[in-house]
Amino acid sequence: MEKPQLIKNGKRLDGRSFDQLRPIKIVAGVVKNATGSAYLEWGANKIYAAVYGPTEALPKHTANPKQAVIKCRYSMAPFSSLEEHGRSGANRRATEISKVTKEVFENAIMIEKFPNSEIDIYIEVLQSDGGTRAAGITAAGVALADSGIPARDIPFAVSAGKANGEIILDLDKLEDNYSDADMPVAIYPNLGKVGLLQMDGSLTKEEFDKAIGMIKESGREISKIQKAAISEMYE
Amino acid sequence: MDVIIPGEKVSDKPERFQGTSVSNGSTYANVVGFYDKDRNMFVQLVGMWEPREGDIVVGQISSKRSRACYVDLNFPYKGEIQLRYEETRLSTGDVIEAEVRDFRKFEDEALVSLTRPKVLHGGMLVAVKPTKVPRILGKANTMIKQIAEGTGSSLVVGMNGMLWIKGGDMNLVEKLIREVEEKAHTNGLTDKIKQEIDAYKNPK
Amino acid sequence: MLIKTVSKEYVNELLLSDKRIDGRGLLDFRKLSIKTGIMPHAEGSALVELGNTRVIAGVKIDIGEPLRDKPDEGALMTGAELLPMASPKYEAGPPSPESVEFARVVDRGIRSAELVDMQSLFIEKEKVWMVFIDMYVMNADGNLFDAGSLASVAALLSARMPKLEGEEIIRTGNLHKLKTNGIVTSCTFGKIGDKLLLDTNGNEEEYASTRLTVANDEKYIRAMQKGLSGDMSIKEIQEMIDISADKSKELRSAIKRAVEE
Repeated sequence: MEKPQLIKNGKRLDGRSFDQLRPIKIVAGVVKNATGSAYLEWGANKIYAAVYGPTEALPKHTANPKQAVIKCRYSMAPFSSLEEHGRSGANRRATEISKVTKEVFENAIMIEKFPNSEIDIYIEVLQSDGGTRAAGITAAGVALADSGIPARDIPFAVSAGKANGEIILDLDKLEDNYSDADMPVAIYPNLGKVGLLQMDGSLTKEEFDKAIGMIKESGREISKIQKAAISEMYE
Repeated sequence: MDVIIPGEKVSDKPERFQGTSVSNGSTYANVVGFYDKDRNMFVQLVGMWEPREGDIVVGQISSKRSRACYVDLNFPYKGEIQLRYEETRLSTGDVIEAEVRDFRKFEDEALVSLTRPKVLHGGMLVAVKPTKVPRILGKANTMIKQIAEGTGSSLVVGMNGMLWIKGGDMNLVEKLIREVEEKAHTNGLTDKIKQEIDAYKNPK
Repeated sequence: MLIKTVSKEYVNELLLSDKRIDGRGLLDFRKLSIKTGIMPHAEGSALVELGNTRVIAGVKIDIGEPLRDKPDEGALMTGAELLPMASPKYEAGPPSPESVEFARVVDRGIRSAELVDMQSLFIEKEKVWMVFIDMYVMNADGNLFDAGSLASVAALLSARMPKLEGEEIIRTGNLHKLKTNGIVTSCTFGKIGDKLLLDTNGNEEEYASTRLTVANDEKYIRAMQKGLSGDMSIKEIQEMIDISADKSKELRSAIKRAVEE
């Protein structure tokens, strides 16, 4: 299939400007059985995140005497896409996303406080429209805050990329499929540090600088929405 | 109330508030809470129990060996009751209340050492957020007394966030407890709960 | 640990006077809510809340090959995920026997009632529409079977039927609905001591010795499944069949309301 024109008259196909996020809505505390949880809608993405723990690390040989063990499962429902029925079960993509997400939270959570314990993070994508790993991390950040497990910071994530020579923020599915670069990034906003960075496609150093700047700037808005979801529980 | 979430600054000075840590001379939140100016303290809205000597806990015996019982406290680490010091007969599955002797973190294991266990028969166990326990108890236990007396229930409140309820209308008790848990940070809660108990006792 | 654990003693004590821990009568359902169309990427979807039990069902419709023994019909496949986020008791990994039984019991009711018009899914020789139902348990507090069945049926009844334009599948825009007939629902009972309880919650389920699911539509019993290691008398089974027929009226109208909204 021929590459569609992703940018027309200085606007993106859905009418957004280059540095504009899709609408984001987060509700905390939605999974009653979990220690902490959140439901997030980000554009057409619909994602549940839940945190359980810390509990005794099981099986025992997985325990680490220096810190809590973080386990993470990112998974996508077979009915989540507008295209065909997905095959359920672990695949290589989900396994990789689970791993890099786990690492984001190993750094955010004060794992040194809970040796020999385990904390489980679950991210379930029920509807997907591009950028689900970033949206999943953003949702899990709210679930973490809701859980009361001590954390250094609450990460947010979003991706930036390149289409028709322009650097654009928060790629949706169509943009993701046909863009010339995609770079999902997670940031700890108060520490000002990067927790996840992936990239494919082609970017010049200048384009990278522009993309990362856009991501950092958008964090103000994303963090505000994350915080509002938590504050709403105490109104 | 301005909610502070983990990572946000609580104070420009280094403070030793619970649920915070100090970095580069400033104090940052590690859990959701708010800063109480009048009392100069950080109030945690969520958080985990930190075992202290003398804390009353409620839990369920998960396993028993010849010398000790291990107790699920809804906490990352098990409670341990050394049987040679205790008179009470204990079996796996029993719900108990007990007192914390100390909390020991070793290189390869951590345990909450418990003493003076008492078996709690029947009733039900409810888990609440441990940070809400002080509000559920109320000043000088006023809130919990009001609920127990108003509903005719017996209640044991564990500092670990486990509550045992028996007798009276237990559903009503659970409902009231959940209400206090959710609205712990609001004013006039004692009166509101009193009204609900009165309405239950004297239905119009 | 669970957020609430009721002792067996207390459950039994209440049952002596036909009462339940959440104040219901023995044959009452918990508060039920059904919402359809919650995941618009799927051809059909529904969220069912039965007390604290939450199940989301999604329906996808794709092109595939017919089953060898039914060359002129489409195919129906039902799956279930007991998500590890739904309960501290569930673990990630391959489907457990519990989740497979759950999916198959729901599937059996829908299949036996011929709820989906399988002939309408035929396209041409060796080419048919395949209907995938996936049930996602988001929070578990007992009686997944009835909640899952309600979610699946509501999702099917509200599903849009994709169409073929040449080789391309058109999934959005002006589409017909998936062709279905009637409504099938199930009633699941747990037996504690000698009492039969409809729609057991998570705590009651712990103490049930036996479970019976009866699925029916307006006319017939369409599927049954006895579960757990206890037993029940034929008279008890007959009683549950009668109750199920009666209770299914309110379930059918709940589905109708949700689909029409």
